Amino acid sequence: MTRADKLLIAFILLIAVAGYFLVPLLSDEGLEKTNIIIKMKGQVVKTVPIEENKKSAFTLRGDKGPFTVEVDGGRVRMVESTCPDKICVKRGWISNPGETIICVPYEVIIYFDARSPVDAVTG
Amino acid sequence: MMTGRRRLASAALLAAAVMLIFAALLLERPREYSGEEFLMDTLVSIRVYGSDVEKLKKATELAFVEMRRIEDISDRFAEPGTAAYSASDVCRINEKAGQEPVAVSSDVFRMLELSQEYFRLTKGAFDVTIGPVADSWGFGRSQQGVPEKEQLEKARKLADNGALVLNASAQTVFLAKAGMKLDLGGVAKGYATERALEVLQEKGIEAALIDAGGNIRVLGSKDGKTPWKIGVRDPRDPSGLLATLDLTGGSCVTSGDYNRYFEADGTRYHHILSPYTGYPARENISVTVLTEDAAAADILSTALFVLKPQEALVLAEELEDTEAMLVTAQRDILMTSGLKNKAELLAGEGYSYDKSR
Repeated sequence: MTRADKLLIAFILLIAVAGYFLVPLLSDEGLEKTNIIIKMKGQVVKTVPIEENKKSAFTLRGDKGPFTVEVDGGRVRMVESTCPDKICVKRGWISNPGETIICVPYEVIIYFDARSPVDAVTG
Repeated sequence: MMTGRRRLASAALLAAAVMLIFAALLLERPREYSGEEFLMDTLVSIRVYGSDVEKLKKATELAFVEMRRIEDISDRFAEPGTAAYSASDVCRINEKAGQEPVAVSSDVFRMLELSQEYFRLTKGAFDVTIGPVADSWGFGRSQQGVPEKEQLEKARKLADNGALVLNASAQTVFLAKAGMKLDLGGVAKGYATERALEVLQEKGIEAALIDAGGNIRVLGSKDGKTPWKIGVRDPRDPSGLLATLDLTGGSCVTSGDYNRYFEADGTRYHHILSPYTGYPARENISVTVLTEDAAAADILSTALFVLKPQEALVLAEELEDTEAMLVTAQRDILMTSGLKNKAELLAGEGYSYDKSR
């Protein structure tokens, strides 16, 4: 092996090692939230892109009844739900990655498509 | 002496080999598999880490099956006459109150033994016989309201822990007074979480996080070294965090006055009832407990929530491998000494924290 061969080997190894550490960073979701995701019974039923100063509201119909979601820029809340306990409505606005609105009776989850700064939240 | 062509060929070969190694390394990297299901009146998410995705998926599914099984045997709101009713040990025990002992599964028996152990340890702050009192408030049902004094007093007489009889050799449970009702709401979720973790371990999982609506149980670590970062919700601003905690194992459960409640005449009535008064406990607004076993953490967060803050703190200090963080009704934050180096407080406004305490 010549000196050039050794250099080449070292170079390729370097790229491989760097890639091993860098690729996972690239493939992870960012901390920046870009969309509001609404899941019902495990399926994504609506994705709302976050736009500054843009307000919208919409009603979705689950198999047990309708519920209304309001989006205001980067925050979202459940305005109205026909579910029995209304825990989802009482939750109010959420605006941070990692926060969720959960409606147990209708099996609805609303959250942001961003990585949370913590692994889980208790409380 | 290598020719230019041979050199090119060997370089290409080398590149291919390195790529293969690279690909193998990527496959070796711990992967995350996660599942979420609605059960036990909350959203449960299970995240597991390992290299074999099929194995992760299978283990997660089995853990959910186990949690559903615990839910079924401890559900106290099943409709009489249904299959769910006869599958529920708790429904059968309650039905035979004042009549005869009922043979139960080892899981329900274990939950009751644990509950009774903590009833004694907390001087009655945690009591599974509180069912009639919870019913008079309507918690767990669609209609809630402040009960009449007389009705509440009647219910409180039926919340008689001394009349709960456990027979270990026959594995039977007997409520000695007619009208008594067990409520495993303060232990079942934690117990199911612990059981789910045991299933994951049996299936060879080494790193996992189970989040059962804020009842958190962790195993190992995502990357073999970093602790799990757990946020504690701000009890007066649900969009904010009060603190973050580093968890290297065990569980972390919070009881708060802000999750389940109703309002009547401008007053908020939350669902954590004090066995001492029959009314929602007002001493604390949020209590977080860290301990190994998720069922114990579930029970303790409820019990400490009911106790006076100083009493709760003293008890938490006395218990082995147990840490706690309390937010009192006056919004003072109290922590056990062992938690101080694991917690980072984020809450500023509205809360006070005295380091020296």
